[in-house]
Amino acid sequence: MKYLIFTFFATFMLTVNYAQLSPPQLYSGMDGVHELADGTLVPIWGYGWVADGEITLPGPLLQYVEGEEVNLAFTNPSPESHTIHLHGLDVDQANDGVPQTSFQVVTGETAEYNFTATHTGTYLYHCHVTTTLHLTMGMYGMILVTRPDNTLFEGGPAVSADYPLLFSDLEIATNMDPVQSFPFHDIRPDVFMVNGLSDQQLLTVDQTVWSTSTSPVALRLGSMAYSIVNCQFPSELNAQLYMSDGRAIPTPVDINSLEIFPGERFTVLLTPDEGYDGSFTADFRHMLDGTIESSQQILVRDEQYHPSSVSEISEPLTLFPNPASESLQIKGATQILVRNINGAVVFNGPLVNSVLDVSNWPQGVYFASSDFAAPVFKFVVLH
Amino acid sequence: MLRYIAILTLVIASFQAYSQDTLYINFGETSLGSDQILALRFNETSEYDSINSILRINPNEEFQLTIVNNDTVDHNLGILPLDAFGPTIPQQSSQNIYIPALPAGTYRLQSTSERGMILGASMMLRVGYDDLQHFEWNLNEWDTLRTELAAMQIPVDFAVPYVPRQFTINDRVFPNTLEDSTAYVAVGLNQEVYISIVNHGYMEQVLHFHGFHVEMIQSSYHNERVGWMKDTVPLRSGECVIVKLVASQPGIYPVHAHNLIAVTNAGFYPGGMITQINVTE
Repeated sequence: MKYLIFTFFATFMLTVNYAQLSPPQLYSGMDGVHELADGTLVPIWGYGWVADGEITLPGPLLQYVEGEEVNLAFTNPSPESHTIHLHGLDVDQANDGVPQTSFQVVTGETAEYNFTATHTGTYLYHCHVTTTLHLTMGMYGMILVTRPDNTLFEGGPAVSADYPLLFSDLEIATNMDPVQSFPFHDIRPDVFMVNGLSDQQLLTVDQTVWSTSTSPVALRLGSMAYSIVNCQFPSELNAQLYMSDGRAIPTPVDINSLEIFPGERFTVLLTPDEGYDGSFTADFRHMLDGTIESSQQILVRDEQYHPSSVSEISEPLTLFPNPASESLQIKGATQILVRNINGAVVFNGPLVNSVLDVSNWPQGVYFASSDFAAPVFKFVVLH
Repeated sequence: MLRYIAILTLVIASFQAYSQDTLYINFGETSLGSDQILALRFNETSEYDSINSILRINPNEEFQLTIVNNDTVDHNLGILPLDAFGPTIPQQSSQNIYIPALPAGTYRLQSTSERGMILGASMMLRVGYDDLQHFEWNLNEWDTLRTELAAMQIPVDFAVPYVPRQFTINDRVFPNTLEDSTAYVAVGLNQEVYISIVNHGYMEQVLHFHGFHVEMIQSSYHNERVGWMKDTVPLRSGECVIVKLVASQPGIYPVHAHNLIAVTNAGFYPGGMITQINVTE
């Protein structure tokens, strides 16, 4: 009977910040709903805490301490079997979450995954039953293994905060009708997300990375996407790569960009210049043909702009049409700064009637923002 | 690497002798899941075999190889990632080619003609790393529309979306990969082994190891990652990788593509690029 209660509460979900307390028991559901940036509601399958009674996209963040003996309880009230694969934690075969080689949790059953969180770092979890479909539907989440002294690993740097950023994507048609979603090889996602959010959903106080002047912040980056995610870090963020796949890399590396293939994880430290108020971008590149499918922004602000002192985050720009051949309508700014793909400023001035004339511009990719520090939006001129 | 361009055609007096000194470019048909695909393969005999051969040679030794082109079109050869391009081998003829002394590593010997690339005339050239048992995974994907056009010598329109239906390790789809002794990693507890991986396809791939992290020994497009410990290994189109595995716990653990369309056969899960590591005590 309790499973029916879970199912009832799981029928509608709200977008939540990707940082949750960790009650002891996960459950799986196949009747969630997720709101996209344009307001579209799409069905999802996923994980949630039993205590919360709702599944989320992505699933709850699982947090453990280095060396912790973990007993993760999982109950499945949903109509199909599911598992939890602990991606990257190198658990033994019995706890690996692969139905053919370990076990699956059938409808109405509860099981426990037992493992030791031996290494700090960023990991993932996901269902491994009919994996292509179950992941597309949303059955995944992130795992963090951290140390009490806030250092990344023994002898590593201390950080002021962890920001889990889980990249993923979905194909609306598949989520709308998973029963008719075969064959899987032609899945081509059309929604691209960071922690389940896209576009203007990311440009909020809650989704902002807040930096401090005392110690760096750690971006915990992982991908469950079908795409390759390419993060572009402005030089003012002073990004340094420290870890990959739950292991320290031999020597930290200063980076301006980072490719994340599906299933990979990285820990990047940001030590932004004092007063930084900008963003970094995450481009989603298709693995078949290299097409850039989407560019998402993650805001980064110095904590001196603490939410309590900030009236609002900059409104996102709306650019239409994109690609543009003659003119571009821009809403959300009265003044615009445009750079070309080489970073050169090609326009910096007021807009007339919210229109930018691009009829004589060379074809190519451009980046627009309301000023030098504001979020950047990509558009294409095509004649 | 330009120095390799010319010397592929040189003939020198003394070469290392290998039992495998002739390769044949053969045209035939292969079964992948529910699909029959027309293919080109490098084989060790003039009889078509649906599995590309693997050429294993010693490091830093020159090597002469005879290529017999049994196909009905000419083929150009290349060794990647060296960007060493050799002679054109006319249809229905043979030619001696010279493999320069190569440092230890894993490379790709392939036909660089469009027909050869689409139909899969591409093989692993593994040089050295023989101090441990060494497994070999050749990744590829197959768009049956393109293979049919290429087989009929009809120009392929690359503007048409590329939609592969089959995804292979050593020209086999899962579960047939488990029957391949160089794709299926059967090892003893705490045994150390190398795995060479080459992505021969147009598509980018990424492999996830269950149960283990592996040490990156070579990564032709991600050279800065040599020495890293990874459980998820990216392979860009054409990339050649060597990883070292320490089989530190017993059990059966999958290794599979984590772009999840690549773990299907004609769209059905499970299939495609999946194999296993089986560690016995």
